[in-house]
Amino acid sequence: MNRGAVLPAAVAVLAAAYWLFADTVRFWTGAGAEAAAIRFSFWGGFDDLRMWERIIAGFERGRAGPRVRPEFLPISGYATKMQQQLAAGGAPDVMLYQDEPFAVVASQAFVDLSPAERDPELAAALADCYDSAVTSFRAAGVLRGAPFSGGNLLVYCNRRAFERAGRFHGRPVTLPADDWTLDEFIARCRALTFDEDGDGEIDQFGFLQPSWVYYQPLLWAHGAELLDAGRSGWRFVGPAAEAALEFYQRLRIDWRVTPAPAEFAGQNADTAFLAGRVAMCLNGPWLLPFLRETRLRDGFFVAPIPRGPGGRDTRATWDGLCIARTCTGPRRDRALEFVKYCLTPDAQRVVAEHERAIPARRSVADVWAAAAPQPAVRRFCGAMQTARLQPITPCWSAMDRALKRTFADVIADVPPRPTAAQAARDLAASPEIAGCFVPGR
Amino acid sequence: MFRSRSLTARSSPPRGSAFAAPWLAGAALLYVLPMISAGGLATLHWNGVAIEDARFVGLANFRRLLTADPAAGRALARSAMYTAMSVPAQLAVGLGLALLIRGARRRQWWATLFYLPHVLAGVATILVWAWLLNPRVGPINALLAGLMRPLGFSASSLPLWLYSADAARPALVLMSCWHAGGAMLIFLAALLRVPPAQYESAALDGAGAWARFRHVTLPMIAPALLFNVLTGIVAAMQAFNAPFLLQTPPQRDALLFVAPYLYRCAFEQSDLGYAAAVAWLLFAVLLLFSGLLVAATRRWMRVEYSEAGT
Repeated sequence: MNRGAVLPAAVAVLAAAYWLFADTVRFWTGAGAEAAAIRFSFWGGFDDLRMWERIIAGFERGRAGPRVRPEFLPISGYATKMQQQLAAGGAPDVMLYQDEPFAVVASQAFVDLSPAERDPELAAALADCYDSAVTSFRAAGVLRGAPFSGGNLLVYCNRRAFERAGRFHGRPVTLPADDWTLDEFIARCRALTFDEDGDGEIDQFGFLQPSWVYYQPLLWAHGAELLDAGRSGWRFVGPAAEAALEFYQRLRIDWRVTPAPAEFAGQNADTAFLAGRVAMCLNGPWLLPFLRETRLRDGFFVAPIPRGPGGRDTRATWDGLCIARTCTGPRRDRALEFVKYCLTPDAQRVVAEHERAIPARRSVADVWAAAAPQPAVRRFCGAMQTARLQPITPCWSAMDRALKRTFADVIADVPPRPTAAQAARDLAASPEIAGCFVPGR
Repeated sequence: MFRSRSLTARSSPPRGSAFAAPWLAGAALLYVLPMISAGGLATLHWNGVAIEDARFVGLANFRRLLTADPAAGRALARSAMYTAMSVPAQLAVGLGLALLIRGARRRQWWATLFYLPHVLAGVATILVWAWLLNPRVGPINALLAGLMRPLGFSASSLPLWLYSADAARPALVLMSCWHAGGAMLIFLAALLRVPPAQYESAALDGAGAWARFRHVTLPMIAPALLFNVLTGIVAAMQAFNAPFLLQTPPQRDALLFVAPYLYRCAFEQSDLGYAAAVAWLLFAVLLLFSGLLVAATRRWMRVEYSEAGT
């Protein structure tokens, strides 16, 4: 190389390196406002982004100190992405976490909030929260997250699909009553399923088969339980468990009222319901903003969980704010300040206004429900009073994997397909369940 | 015929090292260092949350992998099966395309056209393929239905592709042919260096098209074939994006290959030490297989391009 070209080349390389890495160096060496900002990660759609922008703006207004930098991630694989950041030592300071994956990492990953519980402001806020919300974020009795918002599952009914079925049958198919039963649910599913053009393919299905997590209310309706009260013993064995699995199987195999995945390929639960491909589905309040923006805005109805031998409890699920253990010193103080702000009535009202989830604070949720024009909002808030907390456990990932496999097996399109009894036995004996839980009887 | 002075002249060592330096630095940072780290990680029991909670377990992860984890064996077998299906398919399509365009008038245009899928963004094309293979509304099944209806087949007999345990792997093999442009380009370069005189003398000796392909073309492009086989095997055994993105419950883990299994161990089962052991096993298998393949095919690799081209 020409010696005269060495110097310009070196300058060019250095300039390029500065252009590429200056922000990174500033961030990690603590220079500039970016480095001081509290990193906050959350998931969701565009509506969630807008909601968090409002909350963060509310927090920063009148509160001097480092700003909060939102880090938005899609919901798909959110917990895995957090896990990767934790493993890499680069986790955000504050993380929105769902209750299920929270239990898996809580003790090691998140700050103990017990000392902060003595703060009168936070103590008052927590006392106003739904009990299940606070319980969700206690790991081994220690509070490691502050509940923020949540939801439960009810049966969404597409009115147009009901009307279409009525036209097909020549008699109306009525919307469910508040006290409907599992038998009435089956009857509705069958009436709502039909082949309109007679080409041998079903055009409208009664119900969309949910994943096991969403299926929990129907599982409870059969009297089945996954875990014991201490969440260490496996209880999904015996007649109730088999009945719940058999019901799940018959919906697909015998009655054909739910589509196989291939029959709504390319759609997800939301769009299959919106398009009327399925007339009913189990979903939470987070579907409301989506429906509000569609032609189904006034064309849906929300019904309670149908009653079975085990009752009609729905499942509560909560999202909470956790502070990473790696967040220390003044940053931790600022992070805690932000978490406390998210539990203030001001921030909780923003949650309510976005109608995507139920605020963790009952007082705010009650005011919202009373004033909400949509009956569905009142129904979801009302159901929260009696909703059951799902069996969250540090073994959630293993349990989730085993249950997903079992539920997929019992409704497999192609044999071999286990019977419900066989599936329950195989599940209890699977390495994931046998390795995590005390066997039940 | 392709040689030029600038390409064949030997560079002085310092300048050669300078040119190689960025690649070497990248390889050291992005491959060697992570490999060494993964080796260390494989001796730990760590759930990937707080490194101070990691526990040294020596070779226990490797012991568990080799003696007590049938799921890992199944994942390896699935990968091997996929490799055995996809590599020959990709090579056949690649070689076929190269043979097809070797004598074409606008060869460069065709080569660019067939190579294009190879440079398109991976995830985007995977999602497009998910739609193409959609059993309800996808064009592939629509085409098959059109072809099969006159033969008396009904729509229900069409493959469910990604929604079936049996058809998921063939669907992925079909997708892999989409990337045959890479192999095609290498085959084309090799084919263009086969001296026409060899074909002429073979033809004079009465060799037909197949005999010329079998006894002239194949031996002459053997190094390119070996290269494509090796890189194809490595890529197929490490397949992650497509099998990971296209998993559906009805597949019953048909697409749970080694790389997605490794990912599952690391980030779904929170067992990073064990996942590192799986990664090392995959590396060892590929190294061993590549070594055996190179050794076994050494006697076929007699072609010297510098001579062939003259």
